[in-house]
Amino acid sequence: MIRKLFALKTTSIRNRLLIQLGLVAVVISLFLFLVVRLALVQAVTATQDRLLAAAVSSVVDKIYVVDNMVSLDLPYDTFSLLGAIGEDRIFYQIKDDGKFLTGYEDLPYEGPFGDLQEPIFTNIDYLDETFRAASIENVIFAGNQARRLTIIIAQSQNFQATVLTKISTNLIFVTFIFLIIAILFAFLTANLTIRPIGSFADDVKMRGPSDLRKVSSDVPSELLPLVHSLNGFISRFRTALRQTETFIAEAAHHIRTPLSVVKSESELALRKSKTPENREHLRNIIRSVDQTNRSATQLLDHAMVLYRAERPEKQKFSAHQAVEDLINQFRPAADLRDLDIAFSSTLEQKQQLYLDRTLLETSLRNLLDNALKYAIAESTVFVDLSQDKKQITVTITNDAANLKDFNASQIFKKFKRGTENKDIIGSGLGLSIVLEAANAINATIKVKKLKGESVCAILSLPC
Amino acid sequence: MRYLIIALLIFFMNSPSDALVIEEVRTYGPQKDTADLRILSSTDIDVFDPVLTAYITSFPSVSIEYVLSNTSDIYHEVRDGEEPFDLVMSSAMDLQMKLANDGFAESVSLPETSQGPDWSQWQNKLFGFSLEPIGMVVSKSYFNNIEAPKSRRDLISFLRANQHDLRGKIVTYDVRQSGAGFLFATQDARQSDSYWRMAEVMGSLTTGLFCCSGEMLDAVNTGEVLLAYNIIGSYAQKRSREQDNLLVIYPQDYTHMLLRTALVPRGTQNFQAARDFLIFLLNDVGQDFIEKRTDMLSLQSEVLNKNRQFKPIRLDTGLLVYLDRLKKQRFLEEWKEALFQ
Repeated sequence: MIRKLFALKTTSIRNRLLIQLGLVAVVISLFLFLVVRLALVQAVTATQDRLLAAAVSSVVDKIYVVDNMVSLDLPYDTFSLLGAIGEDRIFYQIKDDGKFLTGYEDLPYEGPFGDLQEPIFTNIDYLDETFRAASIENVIFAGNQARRLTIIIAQSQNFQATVLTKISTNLIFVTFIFLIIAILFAFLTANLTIRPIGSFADDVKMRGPSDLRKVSSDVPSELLPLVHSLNGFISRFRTALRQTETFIAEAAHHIRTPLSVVKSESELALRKSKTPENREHLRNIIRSVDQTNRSATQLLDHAMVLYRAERPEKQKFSAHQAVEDLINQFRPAADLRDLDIAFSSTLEQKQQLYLDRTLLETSLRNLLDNALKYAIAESTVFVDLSQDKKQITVTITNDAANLKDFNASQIFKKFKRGTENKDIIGSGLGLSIVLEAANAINATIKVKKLKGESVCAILSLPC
Repeated sequence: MRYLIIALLIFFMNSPSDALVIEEVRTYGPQKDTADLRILSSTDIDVFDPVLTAYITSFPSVSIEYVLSNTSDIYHEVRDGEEPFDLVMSSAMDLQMKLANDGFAESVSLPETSQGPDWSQWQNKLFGFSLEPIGMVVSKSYFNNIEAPKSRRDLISFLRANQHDLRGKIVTYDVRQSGAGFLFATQDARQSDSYWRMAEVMGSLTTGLFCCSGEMLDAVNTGEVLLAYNIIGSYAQKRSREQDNLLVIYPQDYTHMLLRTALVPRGTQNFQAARDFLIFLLNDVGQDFIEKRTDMLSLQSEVLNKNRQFKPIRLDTGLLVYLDRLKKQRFLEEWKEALFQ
């Protein structure tokens, strides 16, 4: 049963503690109960012994000698008192030089005998009951002869039982209260002990998915090894992650140069090519190269965002200025598709932001790029900059070319692209880069479909 | 007369004490070979009859055999006898206490409704069921013009002042022969030092010694005797209704009250019947019946509260003391020296 109990609970330190403390409390309570009860029995026995001793000495007082004969005038009140508390049975025996004088002849006690100052107390089994007996011997002189009188008074133990029962009931109550309090303390102790582990766990749990900083919460010394190994693990993990990112960035970088060569060679070949089949093949190659090139650029961008997210380089700059500069960079590309970019701002020129400018620009660039890429030709892309008490909001709105399978929950996933957009070059990384960059500067990004064919992206920046 | 009594006493004293002398037997309820409940009692059948009749009325299927004997025989019967009795009732509290103390009584657990006052029980073995004050009975015609003594002090003065009238006209129990008489005398001696003074005076008046209260009451009624000392109240009251020369006086210094007690002897053949009867005897119905329909008093009797001098004899192990061989011998010697001068 106990093993089962342990097996059941050993997975929880708290429960294990609780069971151990609880068991200790039970054992201590039991021990306490037994010790106090033992002391009580001794006290009650001592009381009964004193009573018997007094009775014996009052009997001795009533022994007298007439005509060389020992006689006794048994004291009424003594016997009355002996039985007063517990209605105890009383037996006695008086012998004169070993010869039975009066009382109960068959009382089974042969000695040893004490004296008046220190009677001998013993338990006697007689008539199916255990009696407490006091016995003494006393020498008296009858004529010229010394006579050895032995006196035994035995009393049943109702008195003891009565007192013990009465006090034991209280004792059980007190012990029970003690046990309850001890168990409450056990609960408290177990919970207090376990609390640092809980808060440590919460501390780790509350972290964002890319938070790979060292754990530095205050923990009890027993938990330090765990924290150390956890930090070791995190740092190895971070190193491995960075190596992978570096590797991808390197790979993307190394791939772009040969791709440019392939592209220019292919364009050369296209110009020289005579047959329509070859020209078609070459166009395909050029398109694929463009696509790959873009993916490589995006991968580099992505790696950059991840890198800067860990070490943001905050700086102060004008929000208005930053957005306007970026729009101006995109105007040539917009002109190529006969698109117009309308910029409106309710912000003051002086309004400053304090964050990593590169990350903000990366996210805005990707948003604008997407807005232009998917806009209907000859339409206008609107960029609006506004501010309220808490945040600065950049809203980019376009008339989208293809919205059939627009799905706001999917667009931020890596390498996910709309099925109708195969003709448009893209890697599926743009919006996920926006999301990563926005997270890194504590901004939020929302993309939603408006009435008609419009889509708007809202980037909210903390002031 | 005096010599006759003494001769009678000697005769009684030599009679074997271990054989049960049955004074009267009465059966109640349906006739059976062996009665369901055999009661051995020292209470006169006439006194206890209403209780038994009431019990039979409530429980008609129970048959009861009521055997009357004296307290000493009852004591010896329970200790050594072979006749199985189911309930033993006696007025000799000391002998009953000794039986219970020495382990001759069964433990009986009674319901709450049948629990008398604490002082009326010892352990769950000995149960007091009625109270009777012990007083003196005087000849009404003699005390017609003379004021009867109201206390023992009065009595001693009265005896001394009227030695001529009272010689041979005082009676009391012969304590050597009557268990009840012995109990009353020892309790007197315990209660007050004046007892021995009174015993001396009684001795000087050649007080008559009787075994039984009935004869003493008869003697008072005829005028042969003027005063009987230590008479159980219930007998005296009952007689005084029929014999008009009897006047019962309860001394005002103290009046002991006898507690009649019942126990279930160890050899009982029908423990349940005995327990049932005890439950009836001790519950409100039984006690009320005892108070109203018999000459005995119930344990909760108002008489106790109204008369502060009424003291129930304590039912405790102190009662064992006068049964001690040496103590009894010493008491009887003193008594004899006082009474026979």
